[in-house]
Amino acid sequence: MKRFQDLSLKRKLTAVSFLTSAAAVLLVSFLFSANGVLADREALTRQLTSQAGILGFTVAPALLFEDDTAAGEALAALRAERQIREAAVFRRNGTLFARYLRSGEEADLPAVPAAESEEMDYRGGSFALTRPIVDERGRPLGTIYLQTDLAAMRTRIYRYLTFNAAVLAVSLLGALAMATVLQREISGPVLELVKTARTVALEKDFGVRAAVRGRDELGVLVESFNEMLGEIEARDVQLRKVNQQLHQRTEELGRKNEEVEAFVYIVSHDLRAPLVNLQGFARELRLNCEALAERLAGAPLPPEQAAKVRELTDHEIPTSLRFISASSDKFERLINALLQLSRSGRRELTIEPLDMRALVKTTLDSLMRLIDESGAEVVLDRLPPAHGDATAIGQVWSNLLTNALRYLQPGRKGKILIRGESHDGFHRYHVQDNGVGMSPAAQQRLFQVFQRMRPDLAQGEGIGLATVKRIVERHGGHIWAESAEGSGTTFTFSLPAG
Amino acid sequence: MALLSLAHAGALRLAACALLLAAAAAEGAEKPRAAEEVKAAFVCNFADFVEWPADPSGPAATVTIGILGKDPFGQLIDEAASARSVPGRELEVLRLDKREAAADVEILFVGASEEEHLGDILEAVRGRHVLTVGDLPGFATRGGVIGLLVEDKRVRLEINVAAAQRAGLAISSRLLKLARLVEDASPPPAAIEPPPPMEVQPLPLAGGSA
Repeated sequence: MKRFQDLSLKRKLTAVSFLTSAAAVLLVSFLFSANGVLADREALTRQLTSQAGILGFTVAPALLFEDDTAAGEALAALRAERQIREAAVFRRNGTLFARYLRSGEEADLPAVPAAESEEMDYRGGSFALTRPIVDERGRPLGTIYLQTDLAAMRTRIYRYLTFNAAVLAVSLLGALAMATVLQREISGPVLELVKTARTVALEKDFGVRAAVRGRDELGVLVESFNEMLGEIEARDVQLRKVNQQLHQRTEELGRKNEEVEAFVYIVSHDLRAPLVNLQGFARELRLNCEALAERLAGAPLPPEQAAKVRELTDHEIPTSLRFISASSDKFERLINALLQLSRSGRRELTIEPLDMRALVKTTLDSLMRLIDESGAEVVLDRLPPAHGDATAIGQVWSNLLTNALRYLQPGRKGKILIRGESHDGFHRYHVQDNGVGMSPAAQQRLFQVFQRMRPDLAQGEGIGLATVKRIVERHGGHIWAESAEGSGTTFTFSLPAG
Repeated sequence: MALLSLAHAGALRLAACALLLAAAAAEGAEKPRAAEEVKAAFVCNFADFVEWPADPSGPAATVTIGILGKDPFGQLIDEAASARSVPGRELEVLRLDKREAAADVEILFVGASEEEHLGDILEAVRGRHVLTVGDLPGFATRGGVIGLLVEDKRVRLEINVAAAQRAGLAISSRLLKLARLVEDASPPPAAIEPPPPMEVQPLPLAGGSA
């Protein structure tokens, strides 16, 4: 048996209205039946009472004049009343005076009749009644006893109950039919609504509409639902449009970004060849200049000229050549950095489990010369393991540590602390120094390309932190810095755990 | 209207048996009443089934029973009369020594001792509204209204309806039904006044006519 809650709306509505009317019909039917039975019984009592009264009146003279024959004849008139089974008249002293017994019946007389009583005996199927007989002056003369069988009453009641049952059955069937038909008024629109909602949910078709049938609450509900669908449909269309635009824009941006990267790469790469030439020929030129100086040293020149030439070969030309070399070196570094930045954005990452402590140790080893020069104390604390590209993350460590070593406060013993912890699904790694620090304005531009904070303290291209940021973000992490000017900087980068 | 349970019914049946025995014993103990006692009761009962014409001086509250001749009842009729008297409808028993006084009573019982004077007595009450009752043999056929006779150890009634009409009395049909109706043996003398129409009371129940 299904629970009522789980029944369909149709069945529920049918059941509710059917049960309500069934309860009412049953109650009414029961009351009518009970009333009918009681009324019938009352009518029988009344009928028998009046019969006893009439008979009593008739036999009163016979009692007075002791004519039991006449009394017997009066009682014999009861033959006409088929349902009277037995009748008797008793004298005042309780002795039997006259009696009547329906043919084929056995006597069932009370020994001493009560002056007045009614007794229903359904087992025997009879109803007996005793009434006093009085004379003209109201004095008691005796009693009359009547016993009727209940067959007629039973037949009547049976007929009555059968009729009631038939009416009940017809009413219930009618109620069921009405409930079945009328529930559609309510369940129809709701089911339509449900169908529409399911269509929307399953097929994502916001174009369907539920049919509005009436102007009642259900009608309002359906209308509101349709309005809602309309709204959703409009938004859906708009959302799709925006989504498409976004998609286009993203693609466009990606393409442009690729173009830019390619451009950077190509430019860097292509700039390299002339640069190498420039460097090579500058070196060549220096050698030539040295050879020229040697030759001229032995050449007989007037002293004034010789001084002039020596000035040129020993000072002017080498100085120019040094400038050229320095510039082209710087140029090369710049190009290398740009290539690295470009590569960090393009290179395929190989994500693998990383032992961060080992990685940092290796990085520190490669920076040993710089650490020794700076005289800084480097402390390596516990570091959580991570997942990432070993080369790229190594570059991150290298850049951050180089940065920390470079921007130490002159005249203060450098101290660099490397530590890490896990927090909220991310592993965090900190590089904390007690260097020069940064102004808040400088911190904002920290990770942009070609931003140099303190060109006076260290040389660099302003690309390192941009590369670091790019690598960390390609790993799904973040990087940020906290700094106070004059007291140090802490770089923190996070990588997703697992 | 109580529906008896089985146990109840059993107990009741037992009680009924006991009562039956007691009743039988009582009936057996009761000695058969003397004919005089029955007659005395009957005479008193007649008052309820006979209507006397209304007296212009007002309805008589008391029905007087006169006994003419030798009184066969003695105390019995006085007891019966007082037993039947109710306030407003008293019965009074008078012993009459003169025939003339018979005309002033409502019910006149003619004793057996007056057999020889019966014609005179009936003559004396002629034209008066007197219900004549007697236990002389053939009392009613001889012009009396109600005769009492003993048959089969039972007291029976004989009613001469013509005599009743002559006396201007209406006898209830309920009483007539119990009686044997008789007629005058000899043609009666012409009526002094036309008889009033007899009042016939409708019978409530059909059938069973005497």
